[in-house]
Amino acid sequence: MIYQKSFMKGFLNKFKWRFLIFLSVLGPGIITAVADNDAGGLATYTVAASLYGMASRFLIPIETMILLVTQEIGARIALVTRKGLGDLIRERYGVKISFLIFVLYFITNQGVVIQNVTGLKAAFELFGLNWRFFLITTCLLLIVFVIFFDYKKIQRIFLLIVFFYISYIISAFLSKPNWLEAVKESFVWPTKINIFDLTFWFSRIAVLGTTITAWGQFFVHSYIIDKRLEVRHLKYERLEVYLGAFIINFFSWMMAVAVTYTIFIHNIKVDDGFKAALAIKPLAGEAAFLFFALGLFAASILGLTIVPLATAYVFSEILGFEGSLNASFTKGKISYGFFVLQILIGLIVALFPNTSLFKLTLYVDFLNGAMLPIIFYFLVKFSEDEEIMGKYTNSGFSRLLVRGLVVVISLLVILTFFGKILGLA
Amino acid sequence: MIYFSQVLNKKVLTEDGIEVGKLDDLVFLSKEAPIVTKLLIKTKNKKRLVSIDFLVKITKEIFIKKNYEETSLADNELYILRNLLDKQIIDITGNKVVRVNDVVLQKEKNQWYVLGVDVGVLGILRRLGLSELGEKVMGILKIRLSSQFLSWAEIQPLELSRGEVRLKKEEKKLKKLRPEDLADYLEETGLSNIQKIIPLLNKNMAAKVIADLNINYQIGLFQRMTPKKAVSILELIDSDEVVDILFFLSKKRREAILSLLSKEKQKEVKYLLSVHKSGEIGDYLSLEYLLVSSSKTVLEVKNLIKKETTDFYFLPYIYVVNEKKQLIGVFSLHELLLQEDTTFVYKFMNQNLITIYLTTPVDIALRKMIKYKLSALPVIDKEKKFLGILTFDDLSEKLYERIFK
Repeated sequence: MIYQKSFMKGFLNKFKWRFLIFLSVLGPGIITAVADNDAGGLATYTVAASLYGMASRFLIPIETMILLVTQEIGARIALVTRKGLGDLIRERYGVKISFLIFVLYFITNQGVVIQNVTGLKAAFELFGLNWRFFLITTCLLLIVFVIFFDYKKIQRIFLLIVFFYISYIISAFLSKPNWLEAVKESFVWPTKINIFDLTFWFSRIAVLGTTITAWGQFFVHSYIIDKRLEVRHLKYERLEVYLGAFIINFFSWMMAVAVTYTIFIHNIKVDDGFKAALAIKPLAGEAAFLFFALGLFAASILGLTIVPLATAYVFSEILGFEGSLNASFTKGKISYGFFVLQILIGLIVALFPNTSLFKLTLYVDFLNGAMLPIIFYFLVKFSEDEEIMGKYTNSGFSRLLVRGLVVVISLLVILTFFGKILGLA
Repeated sequence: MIYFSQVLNKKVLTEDGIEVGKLDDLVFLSKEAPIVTKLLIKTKNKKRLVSIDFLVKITKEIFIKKNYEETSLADNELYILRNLLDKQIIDITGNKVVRVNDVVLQKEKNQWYVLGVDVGVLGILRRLGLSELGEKVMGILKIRLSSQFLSWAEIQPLELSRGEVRLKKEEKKLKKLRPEDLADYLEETGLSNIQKIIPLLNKNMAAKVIADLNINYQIGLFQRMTPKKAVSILELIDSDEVVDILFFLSKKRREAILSLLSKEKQKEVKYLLSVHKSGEIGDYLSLEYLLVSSSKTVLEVKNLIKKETTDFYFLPYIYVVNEKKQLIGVFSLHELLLQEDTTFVYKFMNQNLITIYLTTPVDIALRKMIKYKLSALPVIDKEKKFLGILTFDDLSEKLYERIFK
């Protein structure tokens, strides 16, 4: 009896200890994954769900797995080498290639930032606020906050914003969905649409493309290093990355539910999150509308902070400047400068009343698509290099799986772009 | 003076103009005067290492003698591209880790030397072919760009795991760094690099650096060392640190190392390993203490301190025990110095003792230290027998983690 008691106590202690370690690694995986559903992602999900209902989330387990595998490699390389992806590219491929990648990366991220400022603007408009005033204030506050707060405080706020995504779940419930049907459509086989329709598949891949982003691959890497995690955290960090991938697909599924059981079943066509929220209002009521708008707000804020931060991180890695969230402003001024620059450019563009988000999304998606195969090439190279990874290299089945997935994603992303050019999605 | 980036990838020809390949890398001898010794030439099918003795001249192209022969890498030779360019190095004078943007070469008396490295922005711009444009733009903004040059004597390459290099000699430059700082820098690179750098240090410095490394790296290093080598380093490290490391090694390895340790060290370590299991305090228990009997005079104590504590890191208090090793008093160094040399210890020692047990939670121990303003607490067992001390120093790391992580 006594033995059992102490055994139980030991077991519980062990569990408690492990849980505490898990909490201490919490951050990089979840924040990166959730921020993948930024304003631009939301727009893509909404449009897809308004056209194809829950079928827009068909094959969602595979999507989760792809995100999970790609993020895990990044996390693993970061933990083993304690170097950012930018650092590694610079060290292995020299100044010219890394600089070229940075330029491409900067432009892509600038596009994403503009999407998110525009998303924020839309959220303020939906709340019926003076959007000019609030947009400028929010952007300035964000800048002050990232520059002057240390890593720990910033991460707390990030995790808090993640909670706002719950509003999508509430919004989904308020749309009074047919849950069984929703599950069948997305997990089993879509019946509401013609599955052999090519445009459906283009739309489906576009949704995948917004979940897996170029900046996300760099960010998870840099953030782990800034958080000073080490290889002994690998087990827990892996779990966190998996959890992040799961959570984000859960949220996006809920988002699709909210849109499907309002807009899709009433056959309304929308082309962005703003119009979707407006269309939800008469169909599911004021509350559903407000929660949907709140979700858009949270998504935009998260995207707006993290994407320029991802730019600043990579800049400092490639050129060897101080680039930690713990750095003071004077010490990290060049990399903070990039952060500020991206938000300001986004703000200025958004202040022009007739910015077309639609065209912008097209270009951003293209650039992102063009960058992904390059980044995956580096990830695969580094993760298979024994000199870099020691005993943590990809090998055997996982090597084949990763290579296979990378080729598939790269092909799909390129395919979507051509689909978009031809007006198929 | 030329920049390495300007010769990299240049065409290599023989004297009579037959193309050999492109310059892929240069090899230099890592010593006080770093002479360039070999050229790595990328030919159609393979990379050829050619001695610099065959070099004729460097102009727009690189010319070598036509009867050139291949050679192989010798000890203490490093590659410029693989180990230096774009890599992180330690700036010894500035005491920080920086990235190399270009490498400067100089010809002197028919020999090429690695003069130093450029770590400034201009180095990057030059390699992008934008240095003139950059200077113009910055000129308009009234910012002067300058090369930040560090000479070879001021730097230590950190990236040594590429290119199969073997460094054998002791690196005197590294002595200028504090072991704590060097440990921090090493932690920024991977384990394989640390394995290459440690042998470049003398034994004492190596032991200090290893003691300051994070436990994961310590374990990694000792798992790969022969027990004999491990012992020679562990002998120089504090027993409580040794226990932390041994605790994570496999039982077989631990036992092999233990049996090779000196008798005294072995005793300490075995004792600490046994208390390790009895509570968290055991993990932090330190054996760096001095015990005296109450009948000693101040002068005798002073002599004891001089004799017994030379290798101590820290000596805050001196503990007084009876014949049964039971704790009966304590005094600080300050209190000792205030007394006349002939005074007996029992006359001035404090008998009102603050003690803890192995089973005391660390939180409570910490609270006692703060409340009574003590930098160390004696740990005793139920019979009041003295077991060791718990110092604030050893706990401070835990405290730091709790506050900042």
